[in-house]
Amino acid sequence: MRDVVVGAGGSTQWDPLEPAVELAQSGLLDYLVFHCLSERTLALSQLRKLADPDTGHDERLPAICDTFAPYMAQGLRLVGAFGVVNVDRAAEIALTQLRKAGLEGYKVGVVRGDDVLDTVIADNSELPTLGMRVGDLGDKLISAHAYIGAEPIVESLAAGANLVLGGRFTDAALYLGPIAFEKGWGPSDWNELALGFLVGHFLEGARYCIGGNFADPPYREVPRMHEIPYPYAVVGDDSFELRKLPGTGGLNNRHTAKSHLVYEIHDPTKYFSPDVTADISNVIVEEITEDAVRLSGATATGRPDDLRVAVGLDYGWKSVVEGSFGGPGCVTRAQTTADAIRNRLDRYSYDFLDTHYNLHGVNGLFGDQLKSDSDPVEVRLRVAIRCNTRDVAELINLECEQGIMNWGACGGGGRTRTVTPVIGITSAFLPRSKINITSEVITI
Amino acid sequence: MKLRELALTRSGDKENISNIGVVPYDEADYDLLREKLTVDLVREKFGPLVKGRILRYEMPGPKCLNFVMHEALEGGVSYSLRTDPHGKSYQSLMLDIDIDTEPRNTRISSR
Repeated sequence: MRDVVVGAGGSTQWDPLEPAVELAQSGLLDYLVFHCLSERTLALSQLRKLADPDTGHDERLPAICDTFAPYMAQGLRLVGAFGVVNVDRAAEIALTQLRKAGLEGYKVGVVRGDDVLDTVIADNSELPTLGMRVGDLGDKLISAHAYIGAEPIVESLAAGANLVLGGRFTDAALYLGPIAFEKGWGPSDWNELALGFLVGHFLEGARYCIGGNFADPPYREVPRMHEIPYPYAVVGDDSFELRKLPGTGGLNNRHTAKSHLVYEIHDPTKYFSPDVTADISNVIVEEITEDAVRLSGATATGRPDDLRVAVGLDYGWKSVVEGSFGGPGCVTRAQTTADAIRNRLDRYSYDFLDTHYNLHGVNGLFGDQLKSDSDPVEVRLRVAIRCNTRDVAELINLECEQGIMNWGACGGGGRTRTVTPVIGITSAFLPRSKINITSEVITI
Repeated sequence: MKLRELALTRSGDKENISNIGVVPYDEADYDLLREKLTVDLVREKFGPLVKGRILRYEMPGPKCLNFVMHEALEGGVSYSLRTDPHGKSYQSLMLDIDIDTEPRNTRISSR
């Protein structure tokens, strides 16, 4: 079976397109894949859609269509979670933009059905982490999206789609879909699916797997961090090469590969995805060239019966206020100000859901788990409070700001403040039989 | 000797769970880390930052360890009030763990 070449178009909705364009220009790729989602992205997109029902998709989509239409005309196919929480809107945009770009007669695959809000309500699904059921959430329940697998992508490609879009695909499925389609793998070719899944595990991280978020000088040096490209994979039948384009920055060796192998995994012998439960504990990493690492040895014997569902909950509003103190006594002044703010807020009888007082430079990241013998030359006080309503959040936000700029200890500067809505994400699980995933292929 | 001398780490998140993978620079140190880098050591280093259980998994192929820390992000990325709700910085706290072994010159660049 011939090699299949898949490239990363990015790892979030906010990633720049330029490195993806470089990959497209190389002419090496069969597929360019856009992973646009994370737990957090899903929540933020849901908030946008609540405010404006015409949003909630990947807002880069018009630009992506315009930018990559010329490459699609040469045979490149695109797969992406561009729909995020609004697949219908994304489909409209893709059809319109690609028609404008002259791709009449080309096809767009639209995958629907990941929105399972009605289903989890009817099912009164269990929420194991919270120890409650969907029915207990009342009006706090906002959204529910099933993590779906590669099968509808394979179906769309088989029906001739040049671009496939949907919503909450699992990250790796976006890559596994085109690979499985091109290779002709079936839904129970477990070891093959594990290989394709592993490709997705790497590429969905984009720059993360070739030197991004890796340098720790002098222990780990990454050349030309400002020019780390997006990676691509040349997928064989029992291994794949993770590659970056020649002459680019970044780093691609056994250490960068292993650092990504362990990224966001739990039990490495049971890495769950809708398509395959992979065992990556015996993966073999081989350095091939300066720009290529070969990976093999992922295995599997099955897949989970149930699909994970990301349930979005209204978790109230978050007020965050920060201000900096410097010079002699800065820690004491910041701490004194924090205490004064706490006392001020105690005058109200609000029931805060959660509060966090931190001194950046002292305990912002690790609490009291790392101690320094000497005082820092500057600290930044951060007061974060989560509460039920926007009105309360706005009010305490101003109080905290006043504390730093007005009636707290001296020398507090550079204050910033934000009030944002908060959506929590928790998991439910649904049997596949209750989730109706459809793929529709529309001719432009 | 600090773990930083022997290994690189990477942390990630899923909901309220943080994982930290530990990759020895030299595969020959895998067995040393299996022996010395215990769940107890990790729990001591993270203290109240991790409220749930900590599990350690071994990956004999790539010779890595993976620590999975439950209830580690004060709710998880979407609503945690932590400065670093992803726990991306946890990998660096992990490297501050003292490994009980003979000091040696291990400052290795990765290639």
